[in-house]
Amino acid sequence: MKKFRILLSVLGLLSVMACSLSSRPNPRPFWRDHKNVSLRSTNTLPVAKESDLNGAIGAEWILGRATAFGSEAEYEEMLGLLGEDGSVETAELRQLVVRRWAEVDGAAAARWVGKLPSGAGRRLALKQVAIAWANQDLGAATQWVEGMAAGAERDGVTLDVGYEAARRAPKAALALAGELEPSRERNDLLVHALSQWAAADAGEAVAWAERVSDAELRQELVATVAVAVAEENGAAAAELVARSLEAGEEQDRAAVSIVQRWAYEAPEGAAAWVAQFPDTAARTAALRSLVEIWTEQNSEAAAQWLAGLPEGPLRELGQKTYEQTLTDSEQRQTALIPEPEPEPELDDALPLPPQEN
Amino acid sequence: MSKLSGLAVIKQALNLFAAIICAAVWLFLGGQVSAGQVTLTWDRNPEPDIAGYYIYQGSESGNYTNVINVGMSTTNTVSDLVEGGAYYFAVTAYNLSGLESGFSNEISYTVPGVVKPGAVPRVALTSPSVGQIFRAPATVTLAAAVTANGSPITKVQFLNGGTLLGEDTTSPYSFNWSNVSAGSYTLLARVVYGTGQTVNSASMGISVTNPPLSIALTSPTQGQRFGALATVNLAAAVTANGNPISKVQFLNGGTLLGEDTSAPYTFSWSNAGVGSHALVARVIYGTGQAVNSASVGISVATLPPSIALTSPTQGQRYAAPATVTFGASVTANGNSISKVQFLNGSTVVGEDTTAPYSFSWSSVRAGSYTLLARVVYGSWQTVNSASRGISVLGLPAPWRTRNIGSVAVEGSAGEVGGLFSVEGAGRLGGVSDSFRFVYQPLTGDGEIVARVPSMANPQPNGHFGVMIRENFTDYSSFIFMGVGSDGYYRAYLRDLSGQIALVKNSIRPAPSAMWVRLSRKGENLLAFRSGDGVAWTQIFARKITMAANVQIGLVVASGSATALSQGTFSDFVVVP
Repeated sequence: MKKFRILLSVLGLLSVMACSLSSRPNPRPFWRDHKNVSLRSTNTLPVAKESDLNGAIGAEWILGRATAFGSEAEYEEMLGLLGEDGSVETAELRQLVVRRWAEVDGAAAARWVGKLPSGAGRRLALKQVAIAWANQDLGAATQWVEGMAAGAERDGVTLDVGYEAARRAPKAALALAGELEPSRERNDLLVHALSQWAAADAGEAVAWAERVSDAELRQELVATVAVAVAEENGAAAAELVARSLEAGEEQDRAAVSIVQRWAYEAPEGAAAWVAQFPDTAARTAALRSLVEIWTEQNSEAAAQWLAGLPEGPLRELGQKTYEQTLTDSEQRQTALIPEPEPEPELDDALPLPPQEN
Repeated sequence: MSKLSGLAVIKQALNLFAAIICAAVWLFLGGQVSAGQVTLTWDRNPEPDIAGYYIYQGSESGNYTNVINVGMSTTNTVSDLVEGGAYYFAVTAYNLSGLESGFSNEISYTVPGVVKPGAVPRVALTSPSVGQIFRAPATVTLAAAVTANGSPITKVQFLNGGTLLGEDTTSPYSFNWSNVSAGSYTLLARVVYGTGQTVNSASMGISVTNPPLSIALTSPTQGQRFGALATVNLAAAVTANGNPISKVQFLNGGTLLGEDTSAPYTFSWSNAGVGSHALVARVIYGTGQAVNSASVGISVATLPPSIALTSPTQGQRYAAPATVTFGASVTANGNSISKVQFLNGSTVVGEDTTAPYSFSWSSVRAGSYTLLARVVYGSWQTVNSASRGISVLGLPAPWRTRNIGSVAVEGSAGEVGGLFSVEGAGRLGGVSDSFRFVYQPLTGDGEIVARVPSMANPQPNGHFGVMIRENFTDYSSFIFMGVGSDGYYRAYLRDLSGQIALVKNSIRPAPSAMWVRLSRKGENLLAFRSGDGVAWTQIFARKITMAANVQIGLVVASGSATALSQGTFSDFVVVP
């Protein structure tokens, strides 16, 4: 009970300060103070001592306390007190308190958000619950989504959970995306999730992408998978692009991306592939990337390959790129800066530029 | 046949002809007719085309100083011979082609009587002719025939009035008087003989005149058309030929429009009336003489205005989003100009009501455009300029561009010659971002380096830089390294989806040397700044759990959801 009284005192102080700040033009919330926020992860928040109460109270402290709440009532009361003062900063803090709650008890946070009136505040709170809960318990979060009424709200939460799932469970993310109606947002999630799946299991990802019936979407997905595959196997990626992508911008972008990766592993193979490209802007971009990378790695081999090309614009561009790369490389070596050095602390002392709302 | 060969043939023919005539003509002395006279007779030349005969006379054998054309006559009496004087004669024939034979046999004749003591030579100017007119600068050939009358001839002098021009000591006596300027001259020859005595010839008047002066109207040109109340610029070229020029007058018909006293001779005739005009330039020279140019006809009519696009140039290339500056020049031709419109195809993209007419067409996306200018005049009549094609280039593979988050205005991006131009609205920070993203996939580890050479229309809290972003949601985790619209290096970081982005400020670099760099190695994300793209200072490093495959690219956030700013990036290194 003592803890709760302290909290109320803190919140009272916070409200007074917020009111005071709101009367100034362009107020800068105290929890965005440079020293409080700069580069401190919210994952490692310090817990404020009672003796801190007379000093500046940061968002970290509030969020840190929120992590330690033991009951739904405490969260609800804090969120109520953080309620609608209209400022972006308070709204953001409120979202983060919801997030903390969802990290501790996703179901309870979801129930509370479900009682909020519709609007931006509810939507943002749902997003925080979705993100936090998906990272804590993807299965439960997914069930929560599936239990929601169909509509824009569920679609939004599906996307939020899907993106969190994509990081570690891309197939689950694809399944979630599959629940959505076709849209740019759905396709973005599909592409993102499939790209992660391809990083883990290229074969299955390719097979999945090639089974997509929507031709335009399939092209985008195959291109995405091909680029991911190129990270490990440029030849396979090239074969996939040649086999499954139609000529066009999607194929061009994928081809150049593949060359950018393949050139690091096997520049000869990438070079042989580039030499087969038709004379397009994509060939120019691919050749530039290839020669830059190859020259940095093995300039003699790159030069030898260029010399073997038939005379023409391809060889001219290649030689020009080769010479420029050598020049740039020499400049870097002349500078003799072995490793970048961390910036000294004095930068922290610089005044923080005004943060407009 | 060459000229030389031709001449050779002619010479040969002449020789042949001379040989034939020499064989045919024989000169006889007919006898003395009276004191100081002798009659010569010769055989007729049998050639059918003989046109006449010349008698050659001299006081020395073989040196004939006088020639008499006697036509077809085969006899002639030579008079004015001096008593006691010895004379030598020969005859030639000439034909219808002007070819002349060689000399006949020579006959000598001594006039009966003795040379009187004190007899003096006689001298006559045989060239030039009396009253002959030359053009300055002239070369006048003076020649004199001398009858020695038994006196030893020292030389012959040629004089202009009392001024010695030159002299000759051997017969035939002649002198070339060169570079003679305009004027009237009195010439005579003076023979110097014996012990320095002299005898003058009769004097002879000649004149040297300057070449005629000429003038031409060089502007306007024949048939040129002008708009009503136009200003007609007249210009005349005068070839003075040594004549002193007083001035050049410009006339319309017989009416003097204006005049100019010094070269180049010009005059601007303003407010030329509608109609046809015959323009003439008149040069006044010497003592008031005048010469007119040829007349040049022009017409002044009520013409429509003309318009030309002065900018952009045909084929000009821009990077999207481009700002294309239109410029147009208008010749009103007396019309009242309301405005100039600038069009993309048939769509008016802007207009200007005052000269100089220009318009900046901003945020032009990638594509090919046909541009023209249109002048609106009078009662809303219009005239179009010639059109020009330009190209606004998009992004090379594998780059793409899109807006992230909620903005009121769409951004765009393009590339020309390695320079990326990105235009975007929005702002970074908080729990969600909005900005223009130019991106490509980043699989695993990677890096991006870019130089930020310019920022256009930056708003408060605008940012221009590079970013590694997990996905396209507005709350995605990301790391950004760039330059703020306040000129400071600044890094933003959202290490978890939906969290408030953290900010790290750094120094304020020189605007011309702003390089930024981001690097991902496993879960470590590092941000750097540099003043030269070579030596780097690490702003910070953070461990962020992102998905394996993310996006990497360029960012422009104007600082406002409703205003666009433009950032230009160059010197890329992308390791995707």
